[in-house]
Amino acid sequence: MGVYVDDFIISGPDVQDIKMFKCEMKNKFNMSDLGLLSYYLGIEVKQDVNGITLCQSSYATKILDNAGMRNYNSCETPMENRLKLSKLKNGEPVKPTEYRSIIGSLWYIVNTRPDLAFAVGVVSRYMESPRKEHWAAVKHILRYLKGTMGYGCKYERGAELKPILIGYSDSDFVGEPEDKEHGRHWLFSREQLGDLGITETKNCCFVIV
Amino acid sequence: MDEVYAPVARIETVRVLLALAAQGGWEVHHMDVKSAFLNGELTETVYVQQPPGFVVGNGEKVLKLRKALYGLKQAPRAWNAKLDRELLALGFVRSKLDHAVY
Repeated sequence: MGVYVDDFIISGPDVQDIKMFKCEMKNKFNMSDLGLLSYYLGIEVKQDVNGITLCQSSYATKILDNAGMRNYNSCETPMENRLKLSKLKNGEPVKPTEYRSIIGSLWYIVNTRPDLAFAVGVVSRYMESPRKEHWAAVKHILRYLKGTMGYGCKYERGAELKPILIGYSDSDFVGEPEDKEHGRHWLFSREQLGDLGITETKNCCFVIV
Repeated sequence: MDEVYAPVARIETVRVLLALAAQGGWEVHHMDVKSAFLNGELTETVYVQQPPGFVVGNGEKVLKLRKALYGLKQAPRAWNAKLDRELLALGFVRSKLDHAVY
């Protein structure tokens, strides 16, 4: 069972246990029983015989509305290939508050959209003094989002419970124009890295399948 | 210093729970507590001015709270402590890794 202040999610192998627990809670507190979980913290949850899917399409719509991009055309990728952005203060500044606010929203949607994580991470580097080119990259993410609003996470029923760790690594050879560093790539699980005795997290990308 | 921290489930934990449920083919149910914070029992002494519409006498006296009210900084923690006691009494065990999971 998970608790978010006054919101409970309850699960277990035996439905009777769940029902009993609900009765016990109703005796102790003034509860509303919302039945099967379908919406939690802005995440749409779909449960069926194949498993559970999570998606944040209504939240995505809200982000696009906030950015005034509801009717923009969609695009195929979250980021331009080989995009190089700069921290240098040239180019027209954009409103920092708006920029940061949209990135904050995008980070929330990353909860069910790991495909956006890298691109959102890149544009987050320029929150201090965002410029037009950075805003263009954010708009690119939003246009990708527009075409992929139904995307989310799918957890399949009865999939083998054997966590297999697959690692990919890549380096973009001094891809950062300013700090002369190699590309720092996304990783999904530091714990597993620690388990493997790897402490160097640069230039690595790990994906758990 | 007053203790006001209250744990909430991490979103990563929620995903793990849902993945686990999907894996086992378990149903996931949802409940919420109405006016949850009013259930909290205060451990500190808190007085409030008499609220408009509930004034007793000439209104010079203050009220001593026995339970939490919305807006109190102690309210979330007091509610969580109450919930924790009730869940432990039902035989649940709190996760060491995420204090909002039982």
